[in-house]
Amino acid sequence: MKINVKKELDKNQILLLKIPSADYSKDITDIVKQLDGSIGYVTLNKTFDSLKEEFKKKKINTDNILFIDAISKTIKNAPEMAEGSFFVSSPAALTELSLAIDRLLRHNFKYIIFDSLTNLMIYEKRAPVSKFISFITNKIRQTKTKAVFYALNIKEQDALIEEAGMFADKVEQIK
Amino acid sequence: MKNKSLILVVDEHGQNATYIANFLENKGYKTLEANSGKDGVKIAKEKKPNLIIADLSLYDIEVFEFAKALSEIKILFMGKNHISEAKIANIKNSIGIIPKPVDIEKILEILKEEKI
Repeated sequence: MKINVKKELDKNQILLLKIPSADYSKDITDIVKQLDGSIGYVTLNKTFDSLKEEFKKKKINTDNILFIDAISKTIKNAPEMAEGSFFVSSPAALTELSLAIDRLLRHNFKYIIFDSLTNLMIYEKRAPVSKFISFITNKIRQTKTKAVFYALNIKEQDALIEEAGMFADKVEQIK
Repeated sequence: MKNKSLILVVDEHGQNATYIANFLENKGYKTLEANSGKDGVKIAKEKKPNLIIADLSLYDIEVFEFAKALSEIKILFMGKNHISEAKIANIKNSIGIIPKPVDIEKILEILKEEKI
């Protein structure tokens, strides 16, 4: 990965990163590794258990990370919260997701990572997704929190990714 | 306009607690003050406020212990300590952290959002 995400976030508040599907797992750990301070990691892709495991394997200290996990409840009985995580009922629960992100903003997190817009599109139609992105990015802009939105390079979702780019300060393609 | 909500302000620096409490009283809230964490727990258990505004650096009680003892009451934390924001946000009844010096208008904004 050639991009220095931390440096980009010093200059920009909201970043949209287009990630090649093949390198996804490696790229997401590389990005977290670059960031210091509190991270709110919103996952619509993997469960918080598996992400935490992956991060630990790469020697990433997860003490500063709070996961908002929108996957676990779709596959098993998960409580409302666990150590290091809050659970949202599904990636389609946009109100719950907004409240969870609001919680991160209210607690002055240094960074929010949203993983990913592409996954959100699996569960919701384009119009509510666009509305959601606009709402969330406006909320973020009222704070000092920096945010990274991931989007996987999937041809069918080019239009949404382009639209989401309008809400970001910078769009970067990871090579 | 009178607001019936009761807010407990916990800060070891008495003047900070009084400043916030006076401001909220002027906005129609009923307030209580405590100058230590343990007093805060005792008063909160007895009076059951709608919200607690508490300093993160309470010397006589650990933040997690304080929040757990009052798990049914929402807590808005103020200031900073050595604990990561990720750990504080993971406390179920924590609704946020406001930096010190406190932006008093920010408190009002949060009270409005929380419908308190």
